[in-house]
Amino acid sequence: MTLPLIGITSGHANNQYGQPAVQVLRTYIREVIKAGGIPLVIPSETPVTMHRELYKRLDGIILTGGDDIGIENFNGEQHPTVHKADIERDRLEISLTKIAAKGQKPFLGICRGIQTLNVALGGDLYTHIQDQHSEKKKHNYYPEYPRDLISHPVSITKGSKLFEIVGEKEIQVNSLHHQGIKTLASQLVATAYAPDGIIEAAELPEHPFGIAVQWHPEWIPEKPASQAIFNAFIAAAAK
Amino acid sequence: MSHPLIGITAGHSLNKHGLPIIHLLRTYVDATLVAGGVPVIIPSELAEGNWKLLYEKLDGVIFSGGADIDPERFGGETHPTVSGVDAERDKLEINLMQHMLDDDKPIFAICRGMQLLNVAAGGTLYTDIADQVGEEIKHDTSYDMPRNSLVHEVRVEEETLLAEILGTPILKVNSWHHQALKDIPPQFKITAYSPDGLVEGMELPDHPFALAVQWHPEWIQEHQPMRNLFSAFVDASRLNGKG
Repeated sequence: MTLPLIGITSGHANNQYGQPAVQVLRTYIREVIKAGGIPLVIPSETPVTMHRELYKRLDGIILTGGDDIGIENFNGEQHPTVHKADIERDRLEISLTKIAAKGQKPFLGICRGIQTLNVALGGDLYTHIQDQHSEKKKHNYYPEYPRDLISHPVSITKGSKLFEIVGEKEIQVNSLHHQGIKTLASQLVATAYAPDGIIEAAELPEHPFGIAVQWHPEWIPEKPASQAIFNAFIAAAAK
Repeated sequence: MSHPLIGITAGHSLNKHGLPIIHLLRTYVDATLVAGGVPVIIPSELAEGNWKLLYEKLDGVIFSGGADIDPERFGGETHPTVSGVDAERDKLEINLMQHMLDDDKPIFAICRGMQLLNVAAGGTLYTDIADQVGEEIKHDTSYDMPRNSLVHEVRVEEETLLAEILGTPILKVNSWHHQALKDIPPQFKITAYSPDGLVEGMELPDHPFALAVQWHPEWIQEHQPMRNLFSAFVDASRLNGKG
């Protein structure tokens, strides 16, 4: 078994001089290395014409967390809290996700990543859970809370790949999002829920490893469930 | 293979919430894409066994600009202006560069990258040009000026790969560095000088493509010779990938 090459999607921000930069939180890099993978960062600028070439070179993909997906991608409801969209990132991630969903290489979606997966496959999102979901519960313990703050339990569906990996019916997670899955894409199966019914994990049942979670395992890396998820993902990518 | 895979080294920084990130100015990415390469960013966190495996999959590597190399890496004079030393990045880049010097995949080294090429091969640096060389030419352009400001001339040596690519013996360049090459190992050919005599470019004649410049061509892509640098590098990477 050779060490698998894991492409990690990234965001944009300006540096201290106002110059545009590609950036990704180091927590993703650390967890991939810890689990035995070789991380590399995918810049969002890469045009669609290069995505197949890129996909060929990788053994697995992490769709990372980040700002909101542009609402035009899922006919979403405008809301004052919606961040300014990063069109290049939306385009790259949605395109790569479609390729990955059809392919056999493992991919793992985290936070924005589960939303990307859902949108890429035709689902849609609450653009602000607290205003639009029936229970109006807070999921955005962000940005003024510690990233590892345990915010709520999630119940994991027995028989799912996620349950196989985590081995527990209920785990405690952090929660750093204000949007969430509204209509799940028809190809996806929901595999975990928050107490208010928000979908916390989804997977592609026919895919060797097409799994996404709404929380951030990379910020609670000492939890057995987080380690199990990264280890299973890297092990699948190494096959 | 129409689009070679180009690894680009990167720095570290903190995001707006103070959390540690990997950081690369997107000008490198954009210039690589325009030249037809598929850019990916190499995290400095990779241990040797890991970057070697990643390197096997790459067709060429850009050593990007950034903060100062630790003066201890080349027995350099400490100076109060030395800043932003990143031990993880120094380690990855120096080891990767040394590995690449014995191999045949294309290397394109920019600003810090050229300094790194020199240090990795056993050369040294002036750790502050103004103090140790002089101020005839100001190489650290003020940060309130645009990054594409053409601030000084460069004279390109004839019969070099650089001259062939640029197609012009004299050109004006941008300049964003306060350190510069001092002692240069003999295997390198110096390819360009600024008017004060500092080295602005060098290459390795015994290597298929190991090209270094002290200025920032990725910020002045509106000029054809600067686009040529990226296309020559990506073309060489494509050829290498096929071989």
